[in-house]
Amino acid sequence: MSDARVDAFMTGYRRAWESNDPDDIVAIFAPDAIYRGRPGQPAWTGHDEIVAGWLDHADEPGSTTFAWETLARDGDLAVVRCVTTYPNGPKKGTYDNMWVIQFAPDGRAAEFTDWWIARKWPSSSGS
Amino acid sequence: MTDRATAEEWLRRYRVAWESNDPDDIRGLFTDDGRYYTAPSDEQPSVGGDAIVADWIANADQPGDTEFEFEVIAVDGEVAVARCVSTYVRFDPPRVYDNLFVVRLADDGRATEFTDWYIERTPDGEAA
Repeated sequence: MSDARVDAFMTGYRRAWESNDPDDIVAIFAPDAIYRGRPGQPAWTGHDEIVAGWLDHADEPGSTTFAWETLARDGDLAVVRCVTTYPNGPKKGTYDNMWVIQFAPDGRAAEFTDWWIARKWPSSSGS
Repeated sequence: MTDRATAEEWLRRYRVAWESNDPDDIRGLFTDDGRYYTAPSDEQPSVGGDAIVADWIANADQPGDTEFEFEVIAVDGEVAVARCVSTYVRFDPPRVYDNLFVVRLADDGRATEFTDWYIERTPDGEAA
């Protein structure tokens, strides 16, 4: 089953990722949302910090390919399994992501954490 | 279908096995064809009780090496997701890992699949 909130968030996140337009970024987060680019690191809190942090870490349009599927939904929380690939550039490689999204009552994200792990490269098979 | 109580009980038993390294404790966590992934891109998971026990023992922490906290954050169908913090107190300073445990649970409460998403915490918050 699809979840309209998850679909809207994922579509909106990907749009913002490609555009780096502040309006696209804030559209998917509640005004006081908490954004963690990694689970154990300080969060960006609220639209201004999220936009500033996002633009500070922005990827160029077209620099990534991205696939996702919902792994679990439980109340207002969704866990989304993603794979991000940077074909070129300083982040070149493939990354496994688990996105943990807590939704606000209006359907925007109240809290977002990106659990990302770089795949070993080259493949470890045969070791 | 699993539920939160079953998931929490599995995590408690995982912690018991972590501290005991008792083959029966370890084996009891998984179905006979269960799969243990040490990372999301693990291409060579441990498959089946014998392999899981052997690989667990080969990589065992000793009792008291670690402190562990967990919270089940989502249960959906057979999938349970837990947010955990593992602290290796045998190091000075201790090493802290954030873990996302992703577990698929059979109806009997054993895991058919387990994946540990672990990320080491660093003072500046950057990737280790």
